[in-house]
Amino acid sequence: MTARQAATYLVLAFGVLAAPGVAAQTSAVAAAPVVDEIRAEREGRPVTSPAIISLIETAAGQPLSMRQVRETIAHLVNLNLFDDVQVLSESSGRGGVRLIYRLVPAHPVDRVEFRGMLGLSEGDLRKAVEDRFGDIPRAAQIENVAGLLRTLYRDRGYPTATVTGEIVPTHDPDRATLVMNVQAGPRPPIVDVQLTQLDADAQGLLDDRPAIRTGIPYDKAAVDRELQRWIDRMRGRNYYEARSSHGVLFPPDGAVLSVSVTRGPRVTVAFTGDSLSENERERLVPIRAEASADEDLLEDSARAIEVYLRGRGYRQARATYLRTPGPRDVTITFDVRRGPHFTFGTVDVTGAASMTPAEVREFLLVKDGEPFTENALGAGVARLRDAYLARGHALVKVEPAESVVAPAAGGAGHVNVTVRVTEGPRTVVRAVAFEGRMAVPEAELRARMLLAPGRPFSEREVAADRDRIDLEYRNRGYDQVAVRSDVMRAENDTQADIRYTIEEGPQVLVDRVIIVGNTRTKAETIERELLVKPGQPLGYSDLIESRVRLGALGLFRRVTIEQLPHASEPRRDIFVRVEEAKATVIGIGPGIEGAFTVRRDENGDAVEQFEFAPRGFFQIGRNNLWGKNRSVNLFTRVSLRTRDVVVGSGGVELTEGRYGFNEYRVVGTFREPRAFGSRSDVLVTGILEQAIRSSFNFLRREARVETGLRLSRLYSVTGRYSLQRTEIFDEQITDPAQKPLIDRLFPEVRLSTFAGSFLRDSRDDVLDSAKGTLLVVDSDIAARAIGSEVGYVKTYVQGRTFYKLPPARRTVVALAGRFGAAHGFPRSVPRVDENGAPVTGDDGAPIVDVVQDLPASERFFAGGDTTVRGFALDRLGDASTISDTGFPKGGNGVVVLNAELRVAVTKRLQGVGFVDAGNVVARASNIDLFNLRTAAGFGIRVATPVGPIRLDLGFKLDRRELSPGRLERRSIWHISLGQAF
Amino acid sequence: MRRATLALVFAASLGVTVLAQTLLDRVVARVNGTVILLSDVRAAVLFGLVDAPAESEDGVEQMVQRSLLVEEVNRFPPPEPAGDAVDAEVARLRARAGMSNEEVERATGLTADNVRLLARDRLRIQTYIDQRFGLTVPLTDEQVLQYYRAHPEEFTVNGQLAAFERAQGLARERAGLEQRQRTISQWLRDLRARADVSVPAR
Repeated sequence: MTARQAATYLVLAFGVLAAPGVAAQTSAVAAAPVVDEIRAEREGRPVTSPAIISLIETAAGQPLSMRQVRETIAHLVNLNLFDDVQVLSESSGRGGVRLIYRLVPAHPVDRVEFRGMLGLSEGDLRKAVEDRFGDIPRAAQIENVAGLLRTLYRDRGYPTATVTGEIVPTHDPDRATLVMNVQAGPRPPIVDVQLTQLDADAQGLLDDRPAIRTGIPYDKAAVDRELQRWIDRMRGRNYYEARSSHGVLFPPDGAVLSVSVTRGPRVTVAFTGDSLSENERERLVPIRAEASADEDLLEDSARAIEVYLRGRGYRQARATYLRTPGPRDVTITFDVRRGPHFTFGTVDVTGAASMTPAEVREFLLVKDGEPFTENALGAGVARLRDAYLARGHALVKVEPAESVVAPAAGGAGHVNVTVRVTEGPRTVVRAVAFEGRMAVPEAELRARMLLAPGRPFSEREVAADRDRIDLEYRNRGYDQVAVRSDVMRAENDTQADIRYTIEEGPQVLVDRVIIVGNTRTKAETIERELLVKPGQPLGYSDLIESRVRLGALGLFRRVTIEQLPHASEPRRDIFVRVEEAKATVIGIGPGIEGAFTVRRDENGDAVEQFEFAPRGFFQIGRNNLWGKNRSVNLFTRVSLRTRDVVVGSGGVELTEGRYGFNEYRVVGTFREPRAFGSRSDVLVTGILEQAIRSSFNFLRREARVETGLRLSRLYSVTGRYSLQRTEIFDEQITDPAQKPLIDRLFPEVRLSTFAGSFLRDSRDDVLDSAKGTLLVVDSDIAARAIGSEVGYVKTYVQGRTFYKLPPARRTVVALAGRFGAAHGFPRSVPRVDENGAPVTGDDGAPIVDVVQDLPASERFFAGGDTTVRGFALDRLGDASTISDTGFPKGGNGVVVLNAELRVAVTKRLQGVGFVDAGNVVARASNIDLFNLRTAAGFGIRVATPVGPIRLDLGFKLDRRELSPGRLERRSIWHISLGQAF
Repeated sequence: MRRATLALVFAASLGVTVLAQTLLDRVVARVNGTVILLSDVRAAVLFGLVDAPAESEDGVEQMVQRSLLVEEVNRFPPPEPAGDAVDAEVARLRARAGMSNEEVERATGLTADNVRLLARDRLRIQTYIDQRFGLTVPLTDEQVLQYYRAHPEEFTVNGQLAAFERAQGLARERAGLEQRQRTISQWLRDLRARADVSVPAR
């Protein structure tokens, strides 16, 4: 811009040009012609894309409107696809006009090419460009790119390199290539190195010089590295002030380097006066660590020593340093004088009429006998002052006075502190008023204020209220709002009138919402999540929330929402750009599971044996079906393990165990988000699984429909219906007297169940929580009336809470409690023989058995890596739930309590100590919190990208006899993934 | 000259079909992402906010400067102009254009609300400049004397150069104005240099 242009603009900025006579000339404007036809073209070809055509506001058959023309251009250029949009009119031949929208495509640079005699590798050139300009420079940066490359070539020894750039446009799609044409030219060798030691007179000539060779090409980075190596060597020998630099000239025959070095004196650091430990010296005087002995560092070091000692009660501590130059060295001597040690003596407070002494002590937090430090006293005084301000004493003064009691010879002194409080009047808010243009009703503003008449006045709350008003306006589209607060005190400062003056500025409305990047996702799916709507005010919080909601859909890798202004108009297009995630997701992974498994020995008794089981999973899912965020997913998991093993003494397997894929799970899920226009998601799931348990194996087929509703960030509820058939086989409890009646009567059972869950989750991290709580209440009911062969009601409540302790090392206390209670509905079942004929009693009447238990698959089991870790899987229980042979039967009541301390040892390693307790009982009414099985232990967690790998070793604290003379195993160890709870 | 300019504005914006095709509007510049249209420049010419033909480089450059100023004013907003002041400014702009609201909208596409915003922005720019650069510039006697010596024609009456003592007041005022304009010009150049401005090929 020329000075004349600037001066012209200044005139225009300050005053409108006089324009006499204009009015007379423009007394009338002709009526607008009618638009007969509209065309859109791009580089001579017609544009038919509905996404673009829909942005054209002008319509055939309507009078030509320049406002609509402007708005159309604004929408189109906001797509960022066009450099220019030209609107032309021509006669249609039918009395009106034909409008032509000529779209001039933008050609953004998407490639960088290096052409010519490069000399350097293309990788080096590309890296240099990317380091400075990012992946792809903009076309406007072409000269900067050329300049960077010229510098690079010179630094790499090409003194005559030429670099020019050009933009080469390409079409379909409209892009451009940034082409850098390079002629590297010759790379002459280094022919001479002229080394100058600037302090040779004072320090003597160097015996150790930088080793820069001649005869090789010049490379600035290599020379700098060699000079840095020389500096490091010098500093290692206590020449902390060693410096170097170099320059290069390129005469015709090669490169000539001029290297300047300064070794400086050898530096010795000494301490006199009171001693500091070696660690304290290194930390407080980091001359060696920083390889420097400049004055700033020495001053900082002396100050650090004083601050350090004063923080420990040496209030008169002094540290000075002296630089003593020798012929070729310098000695820096720190003189440290601690002075006497002081503690807080008496702490008296005067004038604090409106606070109790206990309250004052709570805020001051300084106690008799503690080391005296100015910082502790200052912090206490500040807390006390803040407390007064919060109570409305806006003019309070809190002034500490120290009275030093000198120490006796060789002893400690103390400082008596008197804190004088001048409370001043307690100011109460008398009135809160609002001035200015009021788009937000005053009542709504008042409802959002912290301060109201009658409340204690606080400057801090005035500022907070000012921010609240500001946000309220911004949420209504007033993005230029300015809010000022004024406070007028009255009645001897006991009353305060607060006035907020609001300058609203223009209200910004949303014009168009333009969505791009969605090739599979329907626009309605995206629009449903957007809180900004065309024609509505552009709210600040709505924009943020919209971005969060779109991200939460899980459909997009990236979401950006931009506001695109219309020139000189308070309207904005909202430009939503999404980058869709892959629609098909495939996951596959092998693994190995290791755990103590309950097996049968040759006597039929349960023994625990550690077994490894290879396992793997395969998952395939398709997201965003029909563009509506529906998804379908198939998950399969299989484990290779034995079904039935008899173990002899010493762990020798006595029988073949039918080794194979005996454990598997296949789950197919269809998810319909916001089903039927509601806020709830619906999941339809089919499950086929076979599992190896401690005392039985089972095969289950299940169909389930589930609906979930997230009530808020913390709360959610789900409800589900499930129809399943479960078959039990390979039962280990064969004695009819031990075997639950229901397992005998219903080895295969059909269950029809309704269930509901309530969840409150405030954890910060689902995989490895450090704070927050989780509460889950889950209830099931199965009944014959809804198709179940047996009926029951079951409730399982679990709560977990996590606290992060203050120590710098990440230390978390984790507590969990789980309670389960179930009750079976009685059912009479006529007893039949092997042929299905009724069995009669002595009286000839059919024998009828009444079952009231839950099926085995629904009973509670505990013990194992996620419950009570001193026990193998399912092995927790009492005589009513563990058979005489040691196999678990499960029960209708369970309780599990856990306490865990998790301490970060390193960034990736965590150490854990835990105490667990719990029990499984036959009847829920038998739960006795004073009769729990307990275990304690320790473990480690190793962080991995898929979550922490866990190794726990648990010890029973109350070992019992399984049978006379046969004690339970003392310890159990577990390998697993993720935290225990 | 101004009459000719206005005639061109109207002819172009009304789609007069004297030529085979008439350019109604287009993008003339982008300033930090904000698009300036030809119709914006035409309107600014109409209201006297730009002193150059709308299709000229100078006219576009003045609009670029105005856009940068508005952006700066939005970043550090001065006090909101009073409603009365904005009303008066709107009246001045309208008088300068000599057209009704409907005629302005038909010619340029700018609604009455748009014109009000133009008026508001002009007042805010003025307040911002006054606040930032002050109304008077303190000068040393030496600087005033230098101005007096450099511009003798301004202090010559009837062929007679007024003595410095007599012309000192006027010299101080004009030297201050020149200094202020120089400072603001430099500031505008800096704003322009930092901005991301692109002008499509014509």
